[in-house]
Amino acid sequence: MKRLLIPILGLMPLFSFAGGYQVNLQGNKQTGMGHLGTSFYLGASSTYFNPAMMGLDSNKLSFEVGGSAIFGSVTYQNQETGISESTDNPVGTPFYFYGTYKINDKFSAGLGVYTPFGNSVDWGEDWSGKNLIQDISLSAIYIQPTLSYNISDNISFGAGLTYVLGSFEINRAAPLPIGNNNSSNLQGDQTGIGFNAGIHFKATEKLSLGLTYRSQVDIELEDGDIDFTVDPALAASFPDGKFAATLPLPATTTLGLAYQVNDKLLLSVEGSFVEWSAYKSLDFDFETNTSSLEDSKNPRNYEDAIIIRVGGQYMVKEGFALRAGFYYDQSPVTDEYFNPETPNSDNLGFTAGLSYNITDNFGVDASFLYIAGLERESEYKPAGFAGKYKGAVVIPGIGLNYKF
Amino acid sequence: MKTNRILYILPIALGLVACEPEFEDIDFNDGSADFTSFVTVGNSLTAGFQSNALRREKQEVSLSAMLAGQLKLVGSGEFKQPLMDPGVGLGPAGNAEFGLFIKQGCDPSRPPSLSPGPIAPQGQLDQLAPSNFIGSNGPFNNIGVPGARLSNLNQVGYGSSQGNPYFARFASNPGETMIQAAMRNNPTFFELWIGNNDVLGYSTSGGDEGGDAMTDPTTFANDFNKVLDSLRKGGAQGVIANIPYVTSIPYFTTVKWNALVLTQAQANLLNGAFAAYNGALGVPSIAGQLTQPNEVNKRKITFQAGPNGFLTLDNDLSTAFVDTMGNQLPKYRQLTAGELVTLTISQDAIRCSGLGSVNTTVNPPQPNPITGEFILDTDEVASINARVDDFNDIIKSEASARGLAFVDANKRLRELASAGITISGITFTDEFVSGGAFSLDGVHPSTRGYAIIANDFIKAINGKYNANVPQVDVASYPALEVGQ
Repeated sequence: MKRLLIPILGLMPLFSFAGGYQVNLQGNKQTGMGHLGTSFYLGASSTYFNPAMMGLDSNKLSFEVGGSAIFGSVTYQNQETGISESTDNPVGTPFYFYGTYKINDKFSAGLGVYTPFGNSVDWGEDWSGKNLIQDISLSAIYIQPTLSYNISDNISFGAGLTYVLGSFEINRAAPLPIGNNNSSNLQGDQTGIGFNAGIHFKATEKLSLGLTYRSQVDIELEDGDIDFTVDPALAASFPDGKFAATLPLPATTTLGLAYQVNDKLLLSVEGSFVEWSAYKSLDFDFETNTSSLEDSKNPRNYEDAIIIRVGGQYMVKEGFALRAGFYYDQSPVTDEYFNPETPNSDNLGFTAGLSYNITDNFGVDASFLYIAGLERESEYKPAGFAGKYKGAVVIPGIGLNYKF
Repeated sequence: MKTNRILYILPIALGLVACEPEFEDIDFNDGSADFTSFVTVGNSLTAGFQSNALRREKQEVSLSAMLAGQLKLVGSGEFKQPLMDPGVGLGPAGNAEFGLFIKQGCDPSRPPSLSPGPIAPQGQLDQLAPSNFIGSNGPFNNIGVPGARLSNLNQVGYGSSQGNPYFARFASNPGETMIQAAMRNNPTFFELWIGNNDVLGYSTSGGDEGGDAMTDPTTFANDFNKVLDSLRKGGAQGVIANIPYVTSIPYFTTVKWNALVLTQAQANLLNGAFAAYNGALGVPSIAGQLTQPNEVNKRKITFQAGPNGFLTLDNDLSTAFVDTMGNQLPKYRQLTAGELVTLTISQDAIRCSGLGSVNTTVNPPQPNPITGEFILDTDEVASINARVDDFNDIIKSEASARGLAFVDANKRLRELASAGITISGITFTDEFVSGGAFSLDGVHPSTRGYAIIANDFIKAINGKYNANVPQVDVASYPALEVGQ
């Protein structure tokens, strides 16, 4: 598994521009309307958005596959020195695959592979915050086998296991008193297990509700590799070796409401509660400590955050849908613990999208997302590093759907 | 198919639109100050002295140069420094500058360790010779002269061959004073940091045992007043700083008073060696001669397993004759908490020839006390810090009376010694070498240490003159390198 995972992740850097290191790009249809889809069915991607809805599919088999390309940058400005620097992030490429199979009128089975968390930030080797972070790449691929059960005509339930392949690499300069080219590289990969569940309720012909819960998954690295590059005079004090660390991927609860205004227009609103307070500290427990090398404690003290989304879909004609949406994504990072490693402001997302069915069975979904990372002035107090941050991201995405 | 083509082109076009967010430029300005002609006046701290020497590469990142560089961004003019020739660090005694080397100590059982030592000069050490003087290249803006005390600023002859060679090197004529050299620039703004050497020479030579006296506070007040009068003759504004305690610098805090760590067996051996001395303290005819309070107990020598106070020879103790032949009881005692040992003491001698206890490499073994010039006793420490307080009161009240910006360097160094200072992920402490803030002489800041202080000067200027002068990026300056 380890051998397989690394080349895959090498090709596909993921990138966060949602709260913390959450990536909200799990379906191009949903992304086009503000990344909502908890309360109404849009295809096999419901495996992710609300597994209860898999049984609402009228087809025997449904598939969706797609991805996005993230072009984003964050700019930092030090208010005291005037220094201004920007990230040069690799283009992030989150992806998804979903397949659902209708076993009978009551039961459906599905499989989802998607990437809801990730972070790829590159500030460069020699920027003013290099002692906090030079570059980081974090990815988590979720594999989710799922079952749904239609309790009655208007209530359904679904649940699945999530098997998570996590991978992590961080490079930092090491601010040692001797030598000017000291650095550390930490990397590792590990798996984690969690679950998700959802319930869907069709209250009236026009109104439906959905509620989902995705559990926290802890990526517990046991044997990460640490590689120090330090001045030869200090090399004995900084031995390469193993480290352990735990990275929490937080639990998310989402409640959605959809209203079918008429044959053509659907409107929906959603709220998510993300339990980021689980991310207290990023601690590296080094297998070999020396008098100069103590375990690395990096307080994060994230706070729980909410996401509010609104969106709509307009059926121009049979097989051709236009979508638009907006969301507000609250940053879980406080002003005292804002680390450029995850430079996350409150975000405003503006989305548009369309779907076009080329045949009755085969269609294309496209989305476009612009994220404005609101300007904020914050500090990472433990390291004495402060300034203003502002981000901007554009994310075009494309997907295919096939059903029969 | 038409739709397909749009879908294909659209993402690429939109992707190209993504660009780096930009901030508006910050409004950096000079506020109510006029930095047009900037001069700096002071001692080694102003000159850019580090690691026991003045060296061009360090002058270029001196406190003065950092301040001038930032003031230039808000309208200050050319700032000319009396730079040394490249590649040669030169100390006041003609010594080479200190570098950091990996050395095998005298004890082969210990691994080699990092220790400072003189660098082999990479050029001529004769820059302080009259034939190499550069006085005709002035005027210079950095009038920082290593070793200068306050009284030297207005001293005629300080720039002559009988004065300070660092100043003689760049004075326009041997009769010029430092203040006159500064005033040649018609300054509109000055930095003045002076007074450190008015206590430091006394301190680094071990207090009363050295040959250097502290300046009298009344003299200091008069001289300080005169210097400011002179600098402000043309209406110049400025920034002045106070003086750190000597207890804030690694020169006095690195070697601890009780760094003699013994096993029980070693302690027993040493106690045996001093049994006769301790016995003599109990002889009534001898004890009667020990007239200082509690002197018998103070002089008693006892060692135990773990850390012990070093053995010292203290000439302040009473003279006591042990016989009628004129033989005296040695003036031994052990160091106690609060006493400071200078950095210049030989670590090898402590480890391998019993300095501070008994030298067992000779036969018979001999007591090997640390002599007074390496020690500041608690009275000396108290009197030095009290004198620093006197000077700092004068500096502070002159700053407020004259409306000058004021830097509390004393407070900043205490902060460094207590909690440390963390900037851009680097934590600075007062630890020698590993703390990152001091150069290898244990007295003068490192380049990054100077950068921290430079920002304190800038903050003080900004506060006083409603200016917004940009600060320097401390982390961008280099750390120590081995062999440097």
